[in-house]
Amino acid sequence: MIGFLRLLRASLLATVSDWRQWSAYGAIVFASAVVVGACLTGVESAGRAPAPLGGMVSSWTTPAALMALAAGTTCLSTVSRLTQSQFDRTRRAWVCLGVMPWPGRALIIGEAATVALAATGAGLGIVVAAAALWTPLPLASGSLTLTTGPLVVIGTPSAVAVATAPAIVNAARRFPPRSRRRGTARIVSTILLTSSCLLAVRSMPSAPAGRDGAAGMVPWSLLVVALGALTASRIAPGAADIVLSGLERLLSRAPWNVTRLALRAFAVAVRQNGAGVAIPMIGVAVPGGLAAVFLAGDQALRDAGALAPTEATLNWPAAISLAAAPALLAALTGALVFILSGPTRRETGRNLVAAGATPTLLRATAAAEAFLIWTLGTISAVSVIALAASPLLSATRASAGTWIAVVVNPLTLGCAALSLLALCLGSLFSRRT
Amino acid sequence: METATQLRMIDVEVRYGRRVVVGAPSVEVLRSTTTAVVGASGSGKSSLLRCMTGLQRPSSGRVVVDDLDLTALKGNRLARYRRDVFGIVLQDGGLVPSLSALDNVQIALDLRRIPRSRPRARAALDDLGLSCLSDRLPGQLSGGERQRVAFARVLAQRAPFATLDEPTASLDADSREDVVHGILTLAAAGCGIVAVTHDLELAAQCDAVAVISDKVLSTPVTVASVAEIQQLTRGER
Repeated sequence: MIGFLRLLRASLLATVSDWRQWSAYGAIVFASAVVVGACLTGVESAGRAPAPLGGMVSSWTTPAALMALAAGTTCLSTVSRLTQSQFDRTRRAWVCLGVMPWPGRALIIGEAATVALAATGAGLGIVVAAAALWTPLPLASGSLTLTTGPLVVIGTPSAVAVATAPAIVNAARRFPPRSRRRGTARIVSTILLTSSCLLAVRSMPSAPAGRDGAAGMVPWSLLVVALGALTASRIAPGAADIVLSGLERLLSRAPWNVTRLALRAFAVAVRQNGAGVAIPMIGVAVPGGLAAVFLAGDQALRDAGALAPTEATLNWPAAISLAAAPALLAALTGALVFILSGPTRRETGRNLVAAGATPTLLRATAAAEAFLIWTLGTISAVSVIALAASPLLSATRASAGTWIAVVVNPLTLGCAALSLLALCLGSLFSRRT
Repeated sequence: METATQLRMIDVEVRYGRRVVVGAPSVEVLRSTTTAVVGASGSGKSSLLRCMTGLQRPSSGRVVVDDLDLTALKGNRLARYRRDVFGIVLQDGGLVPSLSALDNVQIALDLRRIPRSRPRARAALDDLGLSCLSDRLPGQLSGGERQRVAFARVLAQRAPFATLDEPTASLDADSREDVVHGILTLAAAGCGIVAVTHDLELAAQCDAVAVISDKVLSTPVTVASVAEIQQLTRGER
């Protein structure tokens, strides 16, 4: 018991000294809790509002909440995995100290759960306080009473818990540390996600039909965006690993330079923890997918003569406001990914300097690695967007130009640019720290 | 820069906060010589070695290579100068964790734009009997193997000066002999070597020995035996 208390004290002190890792983790949990909480507040308030207003608010808060949930869970699970992977060395030291498996596992869960609980509580507190402050919210068609009931108070922590728990439980299960294996649960969940995504695509009507026409296909396409983004976040690192292995074999005799160093760092990160590729991917796929589905829907409606050539169902200011939360959350997480992997980067940097690297070379390597993460994330995102928009575009026999205009729409481009900027800033900042 | 002939530490002092760790009033290292630095654990030997190569800035004093004040250089200029003048073995080897043993040697040559880096790196590993480990990552090597790979990197670089932090620590007798032979061969080829070590037999084979006692590094002196070094460390000489 005394030994466990000593370890608990040492663990708490380590949590303070590793504040950079934990504060980045806490910041993402906090931001996710705020974003998810705010969207759920909208959904809950809409549900209790009178008929026309409630329906109108619900029509944009529900997709917003779904997008925030998709972005929040992806960012949180990636960040949890990255954070836990930084403590492998500390945990090996615990084994040397004679820490038994169960107390060690309890501490691992305790450390992460404490930070997650505190950050979720703070995020939820902000949402409740803001709702109390801004209610009733004046809207064009009436004033909306903001409600933070059970959906917000239970839904927000539940969403955070569902997103963070797998990485924490996995880290606890791997104590005492042993070589990494791809977990059965992860393989099963990837297969399930892929199957449900393919099922959703297969179940979509192949052409606008019935009373709703193209509008009936839009919810299916939006579902494909969410499922496709989650599936791609699982599949992309594995696919990248295969491509990178081939590329590295091809370059094995080339001299070491910025490109090769960045490729190596990226390949190692992809193998170890997915390199955070899921974050730019979700930040681009969700907002870009939303816009693409509506643009493709417009195309189908115009094709059917239900929409004049100059008319559009997609309201850009509304789309941007819907996309802002997931895009900003993904950008913030993307920047913090580099800080989360700070200790590993510092060790590599120190040894590269001893081998003769200059500060410029280290900065350029970090920026190139950020670019590689962004490239893979964006390619995956564009694939998801194309997959989601394909049934609508295929039904209208759209030209190649229309396909490109729909998939690479302004929201896709804007979010991709935001994501690249955040990753580059994160890579520069991590060098300074 | 590869013609650098003389390395001097002048009134160098290392402090962490207000605590003085170690001082080096006057140390001079010439090409083709070997200098051992001995002293108790925690006496600041590694800090001095890092100051010598510019990996750490001394709290006061200067490190001068020929007429160039290393302590006045910063950023890329310092890194380029260090790259061209020094081969470095850090206490834990200083190998990049994500690169294989061969790549760890090769990268140091590539960063110096030395042609035919791969065969040269392979030859350096061969010289120390490490070719069978060339594909292994540092995490898959023992502490002694990591030190030898780091030393192979210095052998391949052929820099004017080399600083070695505990080059024979955690080595078996045969591997130790290989490294000592490598150090002496490197010096004979014109390299000025400074080795921080607890291995008094290695120190006795060096041209000069400097001792840290009472937080001060003595001026290097010539010694003939381990017994003389022990006298030096006890302050009897």
